[in-house]
Amino acid sequence: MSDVIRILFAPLIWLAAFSLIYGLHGLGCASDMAKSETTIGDNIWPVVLILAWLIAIGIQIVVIIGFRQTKPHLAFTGQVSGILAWTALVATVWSLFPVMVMTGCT
Amino acid sequence: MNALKLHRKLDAIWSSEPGWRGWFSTVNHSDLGRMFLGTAFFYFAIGGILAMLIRAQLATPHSAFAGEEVYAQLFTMHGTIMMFLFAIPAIEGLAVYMIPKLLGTRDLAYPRLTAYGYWCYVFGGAMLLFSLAAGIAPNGGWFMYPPLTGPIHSPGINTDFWLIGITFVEISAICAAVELTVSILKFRAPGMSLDKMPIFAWYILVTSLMILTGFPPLILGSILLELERAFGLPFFQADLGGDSLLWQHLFWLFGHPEVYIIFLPAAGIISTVLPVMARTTLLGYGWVVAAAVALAFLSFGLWVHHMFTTGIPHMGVAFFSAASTLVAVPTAVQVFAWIGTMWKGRPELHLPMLHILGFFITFVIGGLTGVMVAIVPFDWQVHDTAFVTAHLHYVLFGGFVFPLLAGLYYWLPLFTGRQRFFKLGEIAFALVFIGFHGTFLAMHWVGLLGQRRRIYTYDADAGWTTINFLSSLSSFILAIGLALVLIDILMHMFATVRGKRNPWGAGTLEWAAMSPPPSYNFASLPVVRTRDPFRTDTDLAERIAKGEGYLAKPNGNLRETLTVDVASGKPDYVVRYSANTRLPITLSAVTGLFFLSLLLKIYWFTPVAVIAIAIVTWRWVWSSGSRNDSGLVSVAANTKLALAETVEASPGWWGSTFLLVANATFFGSLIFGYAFLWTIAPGWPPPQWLEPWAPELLAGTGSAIAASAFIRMAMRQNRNGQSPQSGCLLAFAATIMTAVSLCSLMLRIPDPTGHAYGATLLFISGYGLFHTLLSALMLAFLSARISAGFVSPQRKAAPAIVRLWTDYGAATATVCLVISHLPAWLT
Repeated sequence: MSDVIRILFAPLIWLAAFSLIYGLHGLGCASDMAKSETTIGDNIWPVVLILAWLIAIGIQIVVIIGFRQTKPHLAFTGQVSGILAWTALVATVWSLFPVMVMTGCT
Repeated sequence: MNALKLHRKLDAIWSSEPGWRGWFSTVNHSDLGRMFLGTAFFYFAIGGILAMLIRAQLATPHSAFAGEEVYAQLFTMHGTIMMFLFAIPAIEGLAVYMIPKLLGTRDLAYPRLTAYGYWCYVFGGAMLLFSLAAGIAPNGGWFMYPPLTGPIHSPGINTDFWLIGITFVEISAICAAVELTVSILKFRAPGMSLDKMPIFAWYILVTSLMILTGFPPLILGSILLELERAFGLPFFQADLGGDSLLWQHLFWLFGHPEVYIIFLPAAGIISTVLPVMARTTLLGYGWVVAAAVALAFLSFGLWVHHMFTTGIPHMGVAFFSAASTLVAVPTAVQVFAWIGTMWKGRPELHLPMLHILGFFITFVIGGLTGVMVAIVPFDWQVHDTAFVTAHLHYVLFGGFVFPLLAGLYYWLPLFTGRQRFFKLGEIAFALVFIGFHGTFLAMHWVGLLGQRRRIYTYDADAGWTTINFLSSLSSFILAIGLALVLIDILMHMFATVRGKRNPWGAGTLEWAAMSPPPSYNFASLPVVRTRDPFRTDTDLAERIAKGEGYLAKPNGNLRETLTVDVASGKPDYVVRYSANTRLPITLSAVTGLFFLSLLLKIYWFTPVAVIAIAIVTWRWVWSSGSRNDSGLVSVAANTKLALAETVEASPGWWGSTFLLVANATFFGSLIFGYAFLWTIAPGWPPPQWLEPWAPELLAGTGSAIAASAFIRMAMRQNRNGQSPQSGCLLAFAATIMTAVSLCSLMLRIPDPTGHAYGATLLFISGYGLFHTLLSALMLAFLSARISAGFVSPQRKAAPAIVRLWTDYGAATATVCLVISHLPAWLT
């Protein structure tokens, strides 16, 4: 089962980061903490979102390094989990990139 | 024992009851797979007829063919039937039939559950069909948006049929998903490691996991909307603290993954059939597996792209727009793998290949229009127009129906043992292809010209008349093509001669069985050493039939198969199935009575139905296991394995684990809904918060933790040879204490009909109470099993399963109590 978990691990982290940052964005907008019209402007919330995004990217990089240093039962699992770890890193960078360029709650 | 004697002996053990009675008592996966497929195609025909009626209405402006109300029922039921009663069950049926054969085993993990799921599908579908025949069918569109479908704007029973009927049918999908997940992970031929699994099994595994995590949000939404309609709990009413956008979130949390739940198995068919048609192997097996997994995950990050016009902030919309464009990448990886497979092979243009080519052209166009609607400004222009309807059909018909037809024609010689003779299929394909593109290219066009979806009429001077007429004309060509497919298949089944085994020269195990396959699939379980065992070992079929594999000697009248280690495929333990039984149809009928009591608002009967469900389920579970310790079972020369009841990670434990994954997704969606209403919905804060009460919280959480500790104590006692009864009873008592705390909470919450806050707290505490009582019931069952001698230090499967449920009940009860008290503390 650890092989299956290894395959699912990095995409699960992407899913968690994506949900968390979308949730943080909603929370900020609801609590008036992110109603700035600028990218990094009058309040702290955009910075929080960017920090969360960078942490998520960092975790994905750690997962890739971790996968390279550990071997699963099957070489096949190593190949698939490696591809998916890189995919999850790209997905984290790309799908959450709007925290850098978009306005908060408009 | 020679091959013929072995066949006769095994067939006597595994076959269903003869005649029509067998339909109701069969638990055989081949029977149930065929029944699923037959029923799904029956609904496909009905959904198709509804589509024809829709196109007849739209063929001319100001058509008097159907009135507004009838038209609303037509398009709602067309979408509902195609999505819930055709596409998902057809995939379930194909997977139920094929997976054990592809994996080289004798049946699925839980044969009775397969039957239960099938009958839930039949009864739930019948409810919806009745509503259609009676003219009281759902009429709010297949995604049932409130407030249109709420009690104020849709007071009739129409919407209730959808909410209750679909929830009933979804039980079937969850059952099949648990069944297939565990079967693929554990029930394979010896030696079939993960990297040797047929590619179709990978796709079905991914799809099953998606069903387990994608369907619960819709089940939750349906329950909440039905509670609003039946009891006035205002989850979606903005003036009472609810929010109709919550429905959209819950629906599309299911709805977008649903598209991939439908597409991925179809892609699995392509990945299986295409290499055989190209006389080679699949290019980039590992990359294709990774692409399927990536697609599954990304599909859960797209749901808001159905809500781009709801006023969600730009940043939120941009997240989902970016994720929506990203999904094209793993899809393209698969498409390029298929193109590469054709490139390295020598493709032959048989009928399945024609449908695959139809898939390529259609699905790529659907994918490209998908990228177009992923771009927010374009989506704003075409939202709710016929363009989106056309895109949806390109993706679903192109990505599902063409591959399904390819798969059916590919496996038809296996299903029937006959060979194709009549050449109607090629003509049918041409009509389907031309008819489909004529219908939906035109629909793209008229959508870009501004025709909104779901309108029942339009003005002659709108400029849409010719295009709509062309679309309707083409749709009838499509219908004639599909009717010819049906005739071709029926003629193949009943009017052609017997064919040879493996006519395509495929390498997967299903072709190593007899055609049509016998009730037990394989006389002995083959040892798998390559991904295409039948290609590299041409004598395999003969050796299987002679019994030169695992479990070749029938053990009395027992239905036996074996499980393997998930990764390596090493034999793990032996599973003994129950025989034919009417328990599944009985339980699904009783479940149907429960749903009927809700639909007809006969609420006094609902608890009676619940008790009946508990009694039948008790009897179901009681019939498993044995009262005596038994030794190892001989499965092959020099190989003996333990029985499933002697291991903690038994099939029941695996099934419970995945069922709890679905349950946890449901609970997570509930917490999301609570947080959404609290932070986003207008009309908050509520007039009154729940008064925190520390004794209730401490007693509830403390007893929940104690229950988990006591069930562990019971397991430890059992392992040490002591009676686990005291630990079990203490866990039961602690669970009852938790239930009392949750009852106390339910009695103290603010008026649930006055504000969504009270309604949400009532639902959360009700969820916690339900699971606590379920744990109590399971502990009582375990106690009875211990008393009856079913549990011993060697037979330890049951306590491990009950521990899972007790832990889950304890964890959710704790969360329910904490989050109910939280807002008052925070504010």
